[in-house]
Amino acid sequence: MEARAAALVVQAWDLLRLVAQGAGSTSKMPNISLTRLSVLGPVLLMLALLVVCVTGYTFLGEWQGLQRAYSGSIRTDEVRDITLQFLSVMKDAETGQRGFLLTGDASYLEPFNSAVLVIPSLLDRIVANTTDYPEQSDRVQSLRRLTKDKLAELLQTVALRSTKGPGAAMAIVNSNDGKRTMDAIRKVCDEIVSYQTRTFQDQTNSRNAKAERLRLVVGTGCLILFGIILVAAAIIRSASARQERLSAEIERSHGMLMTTFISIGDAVITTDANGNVTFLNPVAQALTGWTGADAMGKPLAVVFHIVNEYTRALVESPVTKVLENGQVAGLANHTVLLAKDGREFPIDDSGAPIRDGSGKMLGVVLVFRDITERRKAEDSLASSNAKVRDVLENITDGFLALDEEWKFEYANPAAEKILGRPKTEIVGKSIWHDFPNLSGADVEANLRRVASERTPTHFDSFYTPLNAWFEFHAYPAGAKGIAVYLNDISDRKRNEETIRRSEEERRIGEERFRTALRTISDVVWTNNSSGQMAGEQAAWSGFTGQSFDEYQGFGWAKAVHPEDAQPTIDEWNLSVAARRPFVFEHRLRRFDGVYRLFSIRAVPVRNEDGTIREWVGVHTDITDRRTAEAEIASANALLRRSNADLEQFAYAASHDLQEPLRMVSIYSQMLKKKYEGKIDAEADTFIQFAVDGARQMDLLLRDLLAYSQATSEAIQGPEGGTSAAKALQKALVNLNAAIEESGARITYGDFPVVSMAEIHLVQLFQNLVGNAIKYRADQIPFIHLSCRKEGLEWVFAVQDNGIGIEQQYLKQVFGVFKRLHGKQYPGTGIGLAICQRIVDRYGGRIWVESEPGRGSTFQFTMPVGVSHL
Amino acid sequence: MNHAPITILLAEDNPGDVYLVRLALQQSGLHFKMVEVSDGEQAMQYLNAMRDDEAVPAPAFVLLDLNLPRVDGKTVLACLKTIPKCLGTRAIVLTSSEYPTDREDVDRLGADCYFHKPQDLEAFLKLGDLIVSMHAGERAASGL
Repeated sequence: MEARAAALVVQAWDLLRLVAQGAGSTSKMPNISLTRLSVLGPVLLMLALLVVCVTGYTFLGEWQGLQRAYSGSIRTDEVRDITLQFLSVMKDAETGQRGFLLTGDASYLEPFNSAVLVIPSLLDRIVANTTDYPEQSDRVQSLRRLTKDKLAELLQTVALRSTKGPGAAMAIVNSNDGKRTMDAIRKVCDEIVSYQTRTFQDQTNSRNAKAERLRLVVGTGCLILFGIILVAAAIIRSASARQERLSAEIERSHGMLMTTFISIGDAVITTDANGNVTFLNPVAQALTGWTGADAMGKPLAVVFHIVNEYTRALVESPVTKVLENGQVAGLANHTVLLAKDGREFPIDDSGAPIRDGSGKMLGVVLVFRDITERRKAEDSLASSNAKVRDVLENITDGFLALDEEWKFEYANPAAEKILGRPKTEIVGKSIWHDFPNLSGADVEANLRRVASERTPTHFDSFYTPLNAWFEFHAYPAGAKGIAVYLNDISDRKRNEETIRRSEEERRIGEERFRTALRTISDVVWTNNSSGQMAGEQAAWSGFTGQSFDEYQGFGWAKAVHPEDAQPTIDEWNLSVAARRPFVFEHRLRRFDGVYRLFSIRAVPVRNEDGTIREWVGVHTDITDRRTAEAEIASANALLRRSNADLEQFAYAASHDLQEPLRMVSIYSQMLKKKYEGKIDAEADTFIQFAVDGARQMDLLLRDLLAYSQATSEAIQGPEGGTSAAKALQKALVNLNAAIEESGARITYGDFPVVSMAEIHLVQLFQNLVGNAIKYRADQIPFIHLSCRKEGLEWVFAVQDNGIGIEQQYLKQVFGVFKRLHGKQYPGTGIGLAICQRIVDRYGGRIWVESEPGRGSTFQFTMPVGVSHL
Repeated sequence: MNHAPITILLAEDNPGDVYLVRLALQQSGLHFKMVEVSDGEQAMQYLNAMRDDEAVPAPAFVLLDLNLPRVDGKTVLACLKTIPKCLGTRAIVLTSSEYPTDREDVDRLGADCYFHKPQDLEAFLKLGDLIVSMHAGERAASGL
């Protein structure tokens, strides 16, 4: 195994080397190779240089010729121009001479003189510019002579005209010598000009030819160079592309190799030819405890420290052997690697040489692995047989081996115990013969089937001699024998019985629950998580008479009253979508076709992960309740109406009764006023009774009136509320006489604005303060009124120092016509009833706290109106 | 007592009250002549006759029970207010009504005083003093 891994690594190494060498010969690509490029490069370069030199040289030569041709043609042009100018000046001189000779006018001498002055210099320039042209020298000499003659003639004639008159001069002129000379000059000049013109033409032609040659040279040179560059570019491109491919291939091969080294489960170390470490893969690093960087360049023996497992003697590294004889070498057994950190690993390893193409050894690759696990496996395998026996001997479960004739081959101690006989007694004996209890029972049947069909089986059986249950596992063993494994499961059997009983109880409980569901009038049902009715719905079926097919899905809606069905489905879908409890009311058709009104409440039942498992709903029949509610409501309305009638009656009665009572009252007073003391003492008493009775009657009627008014007034106070302070002032004004008479001291704190009719608040204060004065003790009454805010209520308090109320009467005092005192405290017993009634109507409470002899505190609450918070 | 007696019209159906009003006026010392009618219709007749007869002077006071038979006190009061020569007449409404609306109605109709018939004799007899003081005020205002 190790040798194979090493060979693989060597192969990879060789591949890498081949790739690095370029592998031109093995390349199948039709490109120019790198070696050919190295020859062709300089050749192309030399060629290009040569072309540049030749072209440059030719160009320079042609360029100079052209330059010369050009300057020559300029001079030729100049000779022609000067000659023509010279001729013109000569003509001017002659014309000036003629004019002067004919007219004697000295003005003609001006052009003459200037011409004569210029002529010599012009002549000199002609001479100077024609030196390059030998053909012209004769003509120029001739011109020079003729000019000299002509100038002499001209000057002579002019001088004669000046000194001797026109005659003498004309005589010379007439000799025609001058004209001849002039004609000769013209002729010579024409010759010179025509020669120059010819020459100029020749020069131009030759120059053009030169320029053409120059273009040709430069153009050819450029073309050649361009060609060379193209070729070079193509070569370079193809070469670099190949270079890239090769690099990529090297890269890939190297990567593959490294990945292989890094990924393989074996540890890999490579060395150079001297046995120094050049590479460690991760497994090697882990086993040796050396990092790649630390191990690099170190002698292998340092990094790969191996000793004999038992002798602890240094073991020669396989690398040394490989380096010595160049053969693949493996380690002896029981080699232990000592890691840098002192750990030890039993290892297997092998070394193989790394050679280049020519077979030269470049180094060694060492492959090894940790065989701790394998060693363990080997060890455990070795001991397992012993262990199996140990286990069999010690387990509490029985184990038997039987041969093909049903004779015991082996029985472990537990089996001995179960069978009640030692192994030595039963081995070799037949099971059916020695244990007749087993024979003929299910045990025999089962074991015989295992023996004949050769398939394992297991079964439970009750063994009477031990009064215990055993679980048998029987396996075919060997060719024809069987192995039997048996354990006492009496406890388990007992547990199973318990479980069966509790299962039974649970079933009964469920049955009880179902019966309860059937019994109660509520219809309990379940829907699946998507809100559809599914499964058995006994209650639903029982009430509606719907079958499974009818109610399943949304079929249940068909039992709902047609007017309620769609609203129910809509609301139900909303609830299911929102996963919120469903609360609804609808009419449901009973199996007999009668619709009953139901209140429905359904809730989702969730799984442990929060998802909805199902919906459980309860339909509660509220038909009767709703009917009763309606009856109560109508009875209430009736009662309210009759109450209102009664109040109206009470008001009218108390009001109308006052009129006749007034007559009785006043005229009994009249009687008293007129006849008191005038009839007899008895008459006086009668009259007094009549007066008092009438007054009491009057008080009663007034209070009854107030009591009925306490409910007939609007409950809500006026817009903007009622000032409690103002109401108190009014009450105090009404009580003025009593206050003055009793000398009561009344104090009060800050009062709020409240939402109630002023008349009611006045009545409250008037009654409470009036009572405080009326039921005063034998001292000056002190009465304090206050108001505080508690939560959303105002709490008014009227505190006095009067006679107080005994504990048992604290509630009674608020009843109509309830009085605690006799004539010494006149009253009707309606005052506090009125207060109670008013406070009730506004949703407040009234109560009294008191201590007899110390005084009372009446308190009442009034809700804080929204607008007067 | 130098002045001519003033005329007082009393419209009241309850003889007990008539007696009491008369008693109250007598005790007040006022020099008066009282015309008594017992229902609204008679009151209207008297007012109309007085309006048409120059010789009959306008009453100084009209005491009206609101709850009169046939024609109620409010109608009589309204009628009184249409008679020009009764401009100076003081109208006093006598009532045992506790209805607040009654009070509002008579105020609107131009009653000068609202006398709630009391349960107490002495209080009732104060009506005389009330009328005397009103009369005195009237005389002072008219410069007499």
